[in-house]
Amino acid sequence: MALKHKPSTIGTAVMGLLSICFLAVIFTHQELVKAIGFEGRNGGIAVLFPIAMVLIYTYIHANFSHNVFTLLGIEARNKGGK
Amino acid sequence: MAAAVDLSNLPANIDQLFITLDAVKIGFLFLVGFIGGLVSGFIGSGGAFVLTPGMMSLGVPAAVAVASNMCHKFPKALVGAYRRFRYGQVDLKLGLIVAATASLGVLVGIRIQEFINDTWGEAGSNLYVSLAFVVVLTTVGSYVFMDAIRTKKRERMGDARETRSSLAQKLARLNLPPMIDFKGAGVRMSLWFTVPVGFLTGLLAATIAVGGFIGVPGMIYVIGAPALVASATELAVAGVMGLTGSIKWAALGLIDIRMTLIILFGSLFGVQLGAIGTTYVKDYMVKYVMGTIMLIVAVSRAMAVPEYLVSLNLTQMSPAMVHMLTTGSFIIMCLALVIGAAIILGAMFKGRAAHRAEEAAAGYVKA
Repeated sequence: MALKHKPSTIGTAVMGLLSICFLAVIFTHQELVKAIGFEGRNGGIAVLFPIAMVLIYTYIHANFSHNVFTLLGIEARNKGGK
Repeated sequence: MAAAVDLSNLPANIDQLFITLDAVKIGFLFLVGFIGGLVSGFIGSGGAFVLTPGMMSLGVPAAVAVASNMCHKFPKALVGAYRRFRYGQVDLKLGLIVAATASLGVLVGIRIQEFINDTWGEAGSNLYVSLAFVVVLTTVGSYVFMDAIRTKKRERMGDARETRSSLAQKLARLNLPPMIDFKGAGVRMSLWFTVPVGFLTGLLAATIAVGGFIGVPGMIYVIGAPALVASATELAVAGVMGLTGSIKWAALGLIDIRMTLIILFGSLFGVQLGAIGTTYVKDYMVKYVMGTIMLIVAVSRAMAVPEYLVSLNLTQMSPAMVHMLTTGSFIIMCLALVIGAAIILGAMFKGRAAHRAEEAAAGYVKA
């Protein structure tokens, strides 16, 4: 199930920090973020902005949250899956 | 409810469109995101339906609420699908066929919504959505719930096999080319019987925004997939459909990225916990949770119907009574999610304790 090796605590902490920093940057630049999102109605690259943001954030935060559960010992039971 | 959203009266001012977020609002979005993610990760969908009315109660315009909700749903669904794929629960072939045919259903569903909106206005459209909620969720939810009870009883009597529905068994015997082997689901079925499941999933997604309430039961009872495979495959379907929907909303400039990211912060914890939970429970638990949530949401939406009947002058009721029913409807909807999450967590920790006891008995206890 590819869940056997535990993630490092430092690596997880770095991912957690990145996740928080990502949100901090978004919230300290709220007006700019809102303006770019609003600009999507005029087409162009701004349409991709929300999609790109959620995909990048998902990559960081999904890895962090998964590693947190693994470090806490909350893991999937092997039922013969991959 | 994407198609039911009125885009003609949107505020032109960016600050009216994207509200100020304080600590309470952020906390609320995080909490609903987490619980919604937990439910979605477990039953494949249905965790996000509280978010749209929840955001609207914070003062967010309906279109922005729908857009921001959808933009958080697709990456959450993709993460859930990826995790459950690694647990061997996703049937990719089935997911692709259902997603492709669901897209057709979405187009037809939007046309129906447009027709109703043009003919009877926004109140008529809301009434149609609420009635669709009540009829579909009561019918399908009752069936799913009764089936969960039957399966649980069978298991208690020592019959651990998950039996396919008689409809799925009959359809599997009909040799109508092209026949497709769904290895993940362990089923061989004609393409022509999978198409209606996908189509109706899309139709419902365009109507009540939770296609999985048809998709998951359809995959279980029509195609014959195990409940765990059906709910995992639905996550892949929701991910693909949500991505295309989010691009459309982004092109309208209506996604509030701040709200989307806060919800994602909570829901990515929830969806992964829900996915882990599925590996500790019996197959019928997915049906049990899904049936419970569907029936409670049906009650919630039934309470919202009088408001729209009053708006259309089809009945009379005091404003105080309408307000009480509308508030009660929202509270019951939140309750559906909380009860679902409590059942999932309870079942998961019970299953985990049983698993540890099994390991201890087998002498595999880790130091």
